[in-house]
Amino acid sequence: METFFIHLANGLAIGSSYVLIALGFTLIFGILDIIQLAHGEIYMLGAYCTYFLISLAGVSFFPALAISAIVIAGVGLLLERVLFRPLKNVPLLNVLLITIGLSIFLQNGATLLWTPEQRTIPTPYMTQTLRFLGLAITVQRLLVVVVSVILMIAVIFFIRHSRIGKAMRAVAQDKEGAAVAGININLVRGFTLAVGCGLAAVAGSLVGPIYLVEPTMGATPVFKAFVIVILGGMGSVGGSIIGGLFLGVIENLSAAYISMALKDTISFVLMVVILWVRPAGIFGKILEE
Amino acid sequence: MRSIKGISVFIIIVALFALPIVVKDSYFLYLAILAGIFVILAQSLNVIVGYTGQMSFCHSAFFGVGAYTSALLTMNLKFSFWIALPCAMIAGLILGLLIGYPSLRLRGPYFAIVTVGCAEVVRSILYNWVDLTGGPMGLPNIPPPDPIALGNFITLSFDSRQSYYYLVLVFALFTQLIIVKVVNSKAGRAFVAIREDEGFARSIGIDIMGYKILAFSISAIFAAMAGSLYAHYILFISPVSFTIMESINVILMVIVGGMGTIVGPIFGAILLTALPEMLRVLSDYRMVLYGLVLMMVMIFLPGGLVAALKLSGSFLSGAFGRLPKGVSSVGS
Amino acid sequence: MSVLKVSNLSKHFGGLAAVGGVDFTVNTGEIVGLIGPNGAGKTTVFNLLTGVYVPTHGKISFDGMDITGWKSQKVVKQGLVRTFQQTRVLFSLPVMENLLTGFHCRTGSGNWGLFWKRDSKGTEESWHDKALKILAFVGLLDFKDELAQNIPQDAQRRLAIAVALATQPKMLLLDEPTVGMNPSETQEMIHLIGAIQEKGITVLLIEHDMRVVMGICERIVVLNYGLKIAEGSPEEIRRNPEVIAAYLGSEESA
Repeated sequence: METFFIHLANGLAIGSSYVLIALGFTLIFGILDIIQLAHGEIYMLGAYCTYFLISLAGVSFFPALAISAIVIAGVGLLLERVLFRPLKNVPLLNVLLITIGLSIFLQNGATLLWTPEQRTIPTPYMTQTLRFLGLAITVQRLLVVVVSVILMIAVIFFIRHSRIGKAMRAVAQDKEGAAVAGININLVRGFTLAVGCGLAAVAGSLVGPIYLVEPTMGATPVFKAFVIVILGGMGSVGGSIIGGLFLGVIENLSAAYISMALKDTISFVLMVVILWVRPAGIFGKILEE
Repeated sequence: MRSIKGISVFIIIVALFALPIVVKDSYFLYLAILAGIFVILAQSLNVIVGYTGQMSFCHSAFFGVGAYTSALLTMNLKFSFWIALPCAMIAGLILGLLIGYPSLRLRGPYFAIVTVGCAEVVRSILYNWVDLTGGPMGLPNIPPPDPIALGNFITLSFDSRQSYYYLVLVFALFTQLIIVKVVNSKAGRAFVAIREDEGFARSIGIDIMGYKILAFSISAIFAAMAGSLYAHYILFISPVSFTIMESINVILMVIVGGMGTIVGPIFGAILLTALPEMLRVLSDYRMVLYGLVLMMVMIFLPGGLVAALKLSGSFLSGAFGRLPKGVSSVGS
Repeated sequence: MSVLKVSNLSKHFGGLAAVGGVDFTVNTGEIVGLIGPNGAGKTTVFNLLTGVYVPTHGKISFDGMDITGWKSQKVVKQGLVRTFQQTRVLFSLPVMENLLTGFHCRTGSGNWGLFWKRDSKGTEESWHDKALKILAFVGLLDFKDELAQNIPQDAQRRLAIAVALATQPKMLLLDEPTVGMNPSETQEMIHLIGAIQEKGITVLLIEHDMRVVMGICERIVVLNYGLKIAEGSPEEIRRNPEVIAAYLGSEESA
């Protein structure tokens, strides 16, 4: 029974990181109408940034996390300005392929720059454990959940109550109307991309110490973000949170009790099965017009 | 114009048949065979992506299922290649219906993402079902196609590179013919209407789901056929050849050549089979360039080579027909 | 002789009733107007009639058949077709291609029409001729090889109607056919609608331009906030105090 809870805890930890990735992904889609397939590479860049800060510059974990998030948010701003803004009126299909190209470019660029060598982000929290309800949980895993939850709450609060959050919601609902109402669309777009990328960077940095940091680490998590978003509905913050946690837990439990090989595939199998059974997605928003 | 077109097509076909006689280089033939297989893949993908406007990433799944079905039937059940290939096509059809039926109901981007998932599921099955597929070790020693005896005097055998070239050429021409027919039929008109404005197409009585499934099935059948041809040529297959990257490779061929045109995929397939070889020198940078090329083409010339030819105003531009919406405009 | 009968038609989105308990009838060969302030639910009614939405309650009977909840393609086959408020055609294709696509549901070949060649002689030619006739009827013959995106806006509007006619409808639902048109274009559209009626096609027309409505509609149905508030002849509607109040009310809030 104890092992069950450990698997559950691990599932929640990885699930929390999925939530952060899915949140950024879904915000970017909801507000910029872009399916950012290179989002996994942003996650990867965040992990590498933290890794270099700690191992080369001797920065400790939390400051490195924060700096990495800010730097990658800056990358997001740059991306919006240089790539996505000029492409505002290009069909969704074309943009999809452009982000695929970006993903391939970044993944392989990272391989060239930093070699395929797998690295670990060194933190003291991997060896520390906490006794909680009779279980020994790695502090790092706990950190993942705690930081993620803090960020989730922050994002929700922010979107609901801040001025720019309201602007974001307005743009997500009706771009033309928002522009007419005087909202600076470019500002909102840039901000959204910055926030989305920052969240992904945090996810990569949190998870980096637990799993390995390598150039292709973003490929599978971003696919899982897709699954979460398919099931929860694009643009749905609540859907991303529930979906992410659920997926993390299911993955871990099926890997532990059914087969290790299933770990990555289960998410896709789940998606296909759910679509067979409930074609509109769990929240019923993804059918054809 | 039609007769000029007819004559030039005829000349091209004759040239293609004469190729192995004129060019003796064995490596060149190897590339040509590969290009032929990819032409089939690109043309079939073009039906669902270019003509019907539904971005699909599971082409690698159909390719893989076709390859493994054909290989396993000939190896384990001692089927003749000539029976195994149609069986592979049927397997592709079944998979196409299995994936298409629940997912084509979804809006474009969601459908695309689901196909990513399906491609991954199929690859994972090929990788993990070791008893059946050999897992990561793959299937070695796939038998080449068995010889056909025509009458008492002529036997066609397919163990030489040259003969396999002709085999692939015939199948590629066959695929081209079928796809041209489909695209110029009433169904082709429905595909284009769906691509251009699905809601409008629905409002004038077109069965959207039916035609989407049809397009998807056609693409699956021919991709599986290509898989069989691939397996019995390379004589070894493993899951690494059937990943999502492979799907993206074919998508790139269709786009670079010209989506939604009848000859675009041919250009794209030939170019993208030959180019990696020519750029072998830059092998480390190859994938980086790949990503860059994809981005650049989509940003600056989404209509691919065909659009470039049309824009250049060359006399060939009339031969290529119309470009789909969104592709004929460059950038924004 | 009624060709369209709508009974207690309702559509709820979440808690909101876009259309609530609407009844009306359209008789064969009539031109009926469907009017009301913005947001009254008129386009929603069209969407319900043509299978874009499934009604929450109520029944739709067309040409003697209960078509409630039928999918769009079935409704079109039955003979009921609509145009859209914002002109929708296949813009990057030539006018002629648009027409030929409109014939799709009537060309009735098996095998999904897969091997039914587009350019073969015989059948294709007769469809070609049919297309030319329709183009002549709506006044677009000169544009037949032009790309739809390159013809003037009012011509595009007529193209949308031509494609709808290509489906060989018994009844045509026109959504604001004259919006954005100048007086002479409007006059031509009125003329066209009259000619459509002469061909025996029944017309239900959403319109904001009162001159058009009063000019060609034989009967008018008025909606406000999703409910039917009046029905009758143009004279009756013009003098109906509830209708006047509805429009004035919407003007005040505008």
